Amino acid sequence: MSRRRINDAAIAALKRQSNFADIWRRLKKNKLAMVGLVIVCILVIACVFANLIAPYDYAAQDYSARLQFPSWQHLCGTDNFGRDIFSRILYGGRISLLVSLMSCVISLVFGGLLGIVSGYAGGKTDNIIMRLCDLLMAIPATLLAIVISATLGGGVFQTAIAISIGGIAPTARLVRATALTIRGQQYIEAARAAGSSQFHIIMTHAVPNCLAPIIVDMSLRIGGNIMMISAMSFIGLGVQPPTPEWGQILNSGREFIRNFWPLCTFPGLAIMLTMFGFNVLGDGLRDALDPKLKQ
Amino acid sequence: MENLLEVKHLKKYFNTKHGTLHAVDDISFTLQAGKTIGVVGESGCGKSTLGRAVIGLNEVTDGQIIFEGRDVTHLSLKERKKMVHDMQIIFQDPFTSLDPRKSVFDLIAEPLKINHMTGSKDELTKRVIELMDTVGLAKRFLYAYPHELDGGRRQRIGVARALALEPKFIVCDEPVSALDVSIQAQILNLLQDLQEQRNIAYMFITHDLSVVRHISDEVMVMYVGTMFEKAEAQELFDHPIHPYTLGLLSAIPVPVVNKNKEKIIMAGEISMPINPPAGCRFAGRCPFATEACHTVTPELEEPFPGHFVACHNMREIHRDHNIVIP
Amino acid sequence: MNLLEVKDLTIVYDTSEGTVHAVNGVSFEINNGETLGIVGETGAGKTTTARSLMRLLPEPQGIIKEGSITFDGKDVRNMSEKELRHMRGFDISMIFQDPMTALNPLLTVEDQIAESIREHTKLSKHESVIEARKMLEKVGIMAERGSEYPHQFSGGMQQRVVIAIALTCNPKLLIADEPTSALDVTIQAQVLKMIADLQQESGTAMILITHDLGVVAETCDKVAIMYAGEIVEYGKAEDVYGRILHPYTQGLFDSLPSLDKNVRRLKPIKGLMPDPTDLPKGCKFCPRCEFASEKCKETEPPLKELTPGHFVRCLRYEKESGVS
Repeated sequence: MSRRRINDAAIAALKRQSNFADIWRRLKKNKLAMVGLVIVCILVIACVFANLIAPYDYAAQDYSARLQFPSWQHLCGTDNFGRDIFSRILYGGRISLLVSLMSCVISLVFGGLLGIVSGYAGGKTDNIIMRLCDLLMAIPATLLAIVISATLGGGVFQTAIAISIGGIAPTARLVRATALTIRGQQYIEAARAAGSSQFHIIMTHAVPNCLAPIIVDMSLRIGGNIMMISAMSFIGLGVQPPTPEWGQILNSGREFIRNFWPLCTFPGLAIMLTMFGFNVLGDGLRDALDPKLKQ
Repeated sequence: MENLLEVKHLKKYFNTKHGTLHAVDDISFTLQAGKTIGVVGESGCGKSTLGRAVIGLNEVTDGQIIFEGRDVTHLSLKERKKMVHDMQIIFQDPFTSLDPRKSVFDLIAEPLKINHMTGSKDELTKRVIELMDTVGLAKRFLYAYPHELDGGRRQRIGVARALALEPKFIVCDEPVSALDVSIQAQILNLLQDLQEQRNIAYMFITHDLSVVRHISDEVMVMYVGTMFEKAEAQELFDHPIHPYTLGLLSAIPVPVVNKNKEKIIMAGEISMPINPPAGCRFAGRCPFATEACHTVTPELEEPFPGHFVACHNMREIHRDHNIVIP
Repeated sequence: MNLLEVKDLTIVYDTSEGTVHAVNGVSFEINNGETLGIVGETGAGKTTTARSLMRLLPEPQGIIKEGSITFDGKDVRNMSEKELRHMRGFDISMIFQDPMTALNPLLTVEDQIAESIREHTKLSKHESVIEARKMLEKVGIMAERGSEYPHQFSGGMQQRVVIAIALTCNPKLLIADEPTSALDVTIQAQVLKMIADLQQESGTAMILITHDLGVVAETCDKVAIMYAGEIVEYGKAEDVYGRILHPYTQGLFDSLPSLDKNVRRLKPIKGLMPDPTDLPKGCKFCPRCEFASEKCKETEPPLKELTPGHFVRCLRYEKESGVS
């Protein structure tokens, strides 16, 4: 009874749509996902063009205007050095988003690759890769990031790598599990019977069918990574002050949390909004990628 | 007439934790262009493994596969890819053998694209629509997804995919078992029409004896990896010799009400051929089994021209019914 | 009095895609010890009908809109939750196609049977296990194997265990939904024979749901052919198989390859089952029927008793004098 009735008129109107157009069409129908997309777009644009939007320099200190509450001059108030919080959040977003996304991509590429190879090849290869992952997972992710960061030193790229290493093993496990279920599917054998190479099968059948759980995992990981970056800055690793970064601003507000709320609230809101945006967009994307779901 | 396909002493073993699984043990047959060989047996008898081994989806343990006079048993990857043009397979379950994320167009175009059979995009679309037409799928389903279609239509996609490369030989692995009877008949007719038009040879694997009788020229009965009986379809169904064939035929529920019908009910179940000892693999279930059946593997004999049977006691079994087997 | 009487049963599913008319005015009855076969293709409403007899429709989408179900003189539609539980446990049992999903993989076979025995009797644990082993012997499994787990059994053996559990409480009615469709023919023959023997011994009535006309011919006293939620032909098995009346029934028979006749091509029913959210107005089968006339598109044919006990829903027999 799951069969959808095919309407002739709709079919007549049906033109060849590329896969992307198809996915976009389905995504557009999901209102929540569109909200997420808008949030993510605004955040990214605001951060990229921080130098144009920000009313003050992020490092400009004004000791006459310390710990100001929000006003028209300072939209989000000022911090304990008299720096404009709004400007600092904009510039900080650059680092937070960039590092978080970068480390996500690194985890995905290496974890995904290992996972697919492991799940698809099976046997000894699988065993070796998975035991390595177990080793990696035995070390707490934060500790791992601290050690690597301490070795590599500060900086955007170094921090991204430090954070991404901890994400490789869980991603690999996730991808492997999905790849295993897909490997057993008959359409993989059908593709083999049609003469496909292994590479072609992985790219056209295995990867698209693996995507759903990966996208959800990634959208959650982006938020987690932002928190990790701030944890690193907290102990003096990662991105170095005065370069602002969300977690760091949040941390600096800790001392004043009782009588000056803006310093904690606004970077917190920014992190929350980012996580919400990516999560909702990720969920929507997962559904849009699956033609089986009803619209 | 020359044989399109010749399979000689084919063996396919799997190594398992418990020992060597003799999934296919010494099977030989020949097939001519435009003909159908039916392979019947219960689940676990190795018929699907045999089909996959013949078209090279499974590596063969021992034996020889000769296609159009050429030995194709062990081919390099590159040569194997060329064989895809001549040998294809239709799968049993149209629900799992189609990638749920691909539209009908993508699914049928896949074999064409992989094998670089098309030029421009328009040409590809035209060819796909042509194929859909051949298998009786309406054009309006071009961009539908498999889950939007019923089992019969999905199986038509499977047939179109197999036909895309214009093969000379198709392994049909239970292509109608998952379908309702009225749809099953439609697909069987389609397969027969295609065979007449294009002179395709089929290896038709099924557990359904009435389907196999309907579609096959020659029928082979398999049990736990070995061949028990092989003959022209009519001959096999009119004069079954092997006790397993007799039991199988008797077990089929026939849509005729006859309360007094005597049934041969075979006790026991099919066993796994892991490190099988010598002797007939059916001996444990066979009502006619003697001492020899448990110790000596029966040879394939040809009591009537073209009718092969592997049974020690066939003469004794049929003597009671006044049938003399030479 | 009949054990079970179903009258004008109408069931719909309310889904986001519209109202699915799953069962449309189905009537039948079963006497003690009788076997009724319900035959039809996927989506004909067989399983929905069977589930509604025990009020096991998925909630809240499945709704019994009209009709009555009378079991053993009691109205099933108005039963309280407590009465229903009693009925499901003691009076009616159900077995499904896939035995593995009906068995708990963590319990030994005899424990599972014993547990179901204890639910219905006051036996002690030890006594119930002994009873369970007797039950196993009854369904043709050696009692020693009772301490094994379901996965150590083959499909046929698992189905035997499921049947043993279903029969522990000596139900008056057994509903079997495609019990042998997943089994090989030789195993199917064993299981069907066993069910028939047990049925004869205990006098249990049975509803056998299947798509296989052969299975029905060999096991059932009565047959109901279902199409698009309606019974299109109904009667004693000998009558229906002896004189096929409805074009759909004929179509099913023509679709089957024969074991002893040579036919060059099968004669399938053209087209597909209609969408249950949008059924045709007149006869439901009319778009696929080779005898359809203009009138069939407009008028819904009534179920007519053509010869005693043999009903058909087709306008072709309108003028024939039936049983009044």
